Amino acid sequence: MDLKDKIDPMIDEVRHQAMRKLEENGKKDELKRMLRNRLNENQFDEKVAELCKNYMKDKNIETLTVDEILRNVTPEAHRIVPDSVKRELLTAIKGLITGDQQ
Amino acid sequence: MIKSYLTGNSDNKSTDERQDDLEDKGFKAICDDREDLKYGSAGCSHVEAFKATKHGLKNFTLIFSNFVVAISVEAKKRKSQAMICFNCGPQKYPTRLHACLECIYFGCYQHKHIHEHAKTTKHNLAIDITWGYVYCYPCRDYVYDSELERIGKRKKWKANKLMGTAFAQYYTWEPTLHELEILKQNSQRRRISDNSYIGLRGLINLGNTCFMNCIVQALTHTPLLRDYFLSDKHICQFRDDPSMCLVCEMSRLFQEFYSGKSTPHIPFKLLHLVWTHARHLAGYEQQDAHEFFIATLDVLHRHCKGSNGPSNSNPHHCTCIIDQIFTGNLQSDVVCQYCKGVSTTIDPFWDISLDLGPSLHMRQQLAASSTTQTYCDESEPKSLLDCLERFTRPEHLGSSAKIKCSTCQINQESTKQLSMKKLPIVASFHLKRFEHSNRFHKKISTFISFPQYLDMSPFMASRRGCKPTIDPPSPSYANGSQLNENKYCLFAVVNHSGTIETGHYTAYVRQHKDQWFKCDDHIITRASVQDVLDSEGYLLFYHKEFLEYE
Ligand SMILES: [Zn+2]
Ligand SMILES: [Zn+2]
Ligand SMILES: [Zn+2]
Ligand SMILES: [Zn+2]
Ligand SMILES: [Zn+2]
Ligand SMILES: [Zn+2]
Repeated sequence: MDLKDKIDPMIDEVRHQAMRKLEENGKKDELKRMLRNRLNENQFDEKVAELCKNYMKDKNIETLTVDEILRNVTPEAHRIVPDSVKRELLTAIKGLITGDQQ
Repeated sequence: MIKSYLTGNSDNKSTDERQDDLEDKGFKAICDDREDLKYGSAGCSHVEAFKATKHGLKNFTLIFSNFVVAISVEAKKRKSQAMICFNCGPQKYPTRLHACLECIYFGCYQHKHIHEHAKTTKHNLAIDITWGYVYCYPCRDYVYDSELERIGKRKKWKANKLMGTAFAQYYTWEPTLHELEILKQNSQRRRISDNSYIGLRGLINLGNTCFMNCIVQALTHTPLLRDYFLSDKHICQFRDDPSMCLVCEMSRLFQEFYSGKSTPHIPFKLLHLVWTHARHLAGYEQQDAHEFFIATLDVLHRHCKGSNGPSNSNPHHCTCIIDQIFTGNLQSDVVCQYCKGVSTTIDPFWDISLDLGPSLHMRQQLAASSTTQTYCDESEPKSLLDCLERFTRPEHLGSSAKIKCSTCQINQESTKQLSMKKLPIVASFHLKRFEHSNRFHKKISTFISFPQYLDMSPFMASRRGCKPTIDPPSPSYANGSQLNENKYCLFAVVNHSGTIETGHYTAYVRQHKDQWFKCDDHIITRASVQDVLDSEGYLLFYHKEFLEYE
């Protein structure tokens, strides 16, 4: 826990710089698109929609908020992202940040 | 900085609006009749009030196009610099950053900084910078407003157009009014579970027609072909007599396969159509499944013609569904042994026929060695990869097969090497198990192993050390994902058992990504991946693992 507190600000800083760089050169849009395609191929959208529907089934639609659904569905949604997709995205980001285009 | 942009833009409003009009036309073309659809339009009274203010819609539009989609290069730069929560500070990467729709404020959702801002300033609405959704603080939720949605969509569409065609946007399907009507009239929905048998159907053998049945099984289990047929995309060219159209017949076949019926289907209509359109296959004797496969693709391709755009002028570039899925390009490099000049030709292919048994080179070596202890520097292929390796190896054409060199201007000895220029979505491999010569017909039953996952990267023209082509490098995300483009997964295998005279065809097909079934005419049984990989293999069908939507 202690260690995590020390590391986090640093990681955050690196993350921030990386994101900024990707945003600026438009690569972030490419990555987003790739991620979208991959998730699509794995029917991720449908699966998450299913999770949401299941959650909403016996709730009062009038008072239910996106926040509440999000809180309850996100952990499972994270879990069903295929490892291969995570790996591919990571490799892609690594490649873009370190700037080695082949 | 941001403020100057928001206000400064109103000067060139007239050109902007004209531009918008033009875009609207294109946008409407893709949007069909969505505009007429009246949803319960307004999200909430706060959005209504916001839209009624003088600057409401204008602010929304500007923020959306400059921060949510970042339409221009300058906008991207501005966005990258603006991705800061005003409370968290520039050192922290904001999670779920929102922009206030009333003033120049950016705050994160994670630490409720955007909420705090709304509470203290009474600025009700904020927009999620990443996705463009509008959050209403008094309502404590995101709100849907059809007008804002429309503006957002138009801006996204414009941004995608500016990005160029290389990564054209993938659009999710939205029903048109007409389709909504159909959906309403047919309220029953079918959901396919992972253990459903839907899509599996036996086929009656009409007397030696297993060669057709196994190909039909492979085709009906080709994922992209199934998507095409089940989404009813075919526009028939046979206006006078649609019953003559093989594509229409395939559509009906897909309907039969996915109807949920479990009785075997009798494919006589299909057989009749193939006989009509590919005369050389007519007759009740056993035919070669590979020949049938190619003939079927050819007839389907011919019957698709004209329905997919202006490519009739160029016979080598067809965009019909068959060519979209099955066509790859093969590069052939002929190197003159005298001047080392390379001449390159590129030809389309639907499948790759691979030689088995000893190569010509091996046979020559074996014939030349008189001792019983024969020496040979290569071995017979034992796997699909061996076959592909041999297929793409430089081959010396010998002194009897000289080719005219364009540099030397005379016939010269040369070497020839094949490689993959463009990979198809479905790669079909034909293991040439049947040897026909004027003296004998024989079947090679050697076991050739083939993998469940196949990487074609080593056989690409770009990897083979051939003459590099002058094409600009294709846009790539990064090293990792570019390699992924060449990865394939096995989804169907056609097998031939017995001898060349009396044999029988069966097929293995994949369902739901990882379940395998053996199709033996009207009998369908469950199989394991190992059963499939242990089988002899005659035709192997691989599907790309990852697709880029175009
Ligand atoms: Zn504000
Ligand atoms: Zn914050
Ligand atoms: Zn509200
Ligand atoms: Zn038709
Ligand atoms: Zn075609
Ligand atoms: Zn030459």
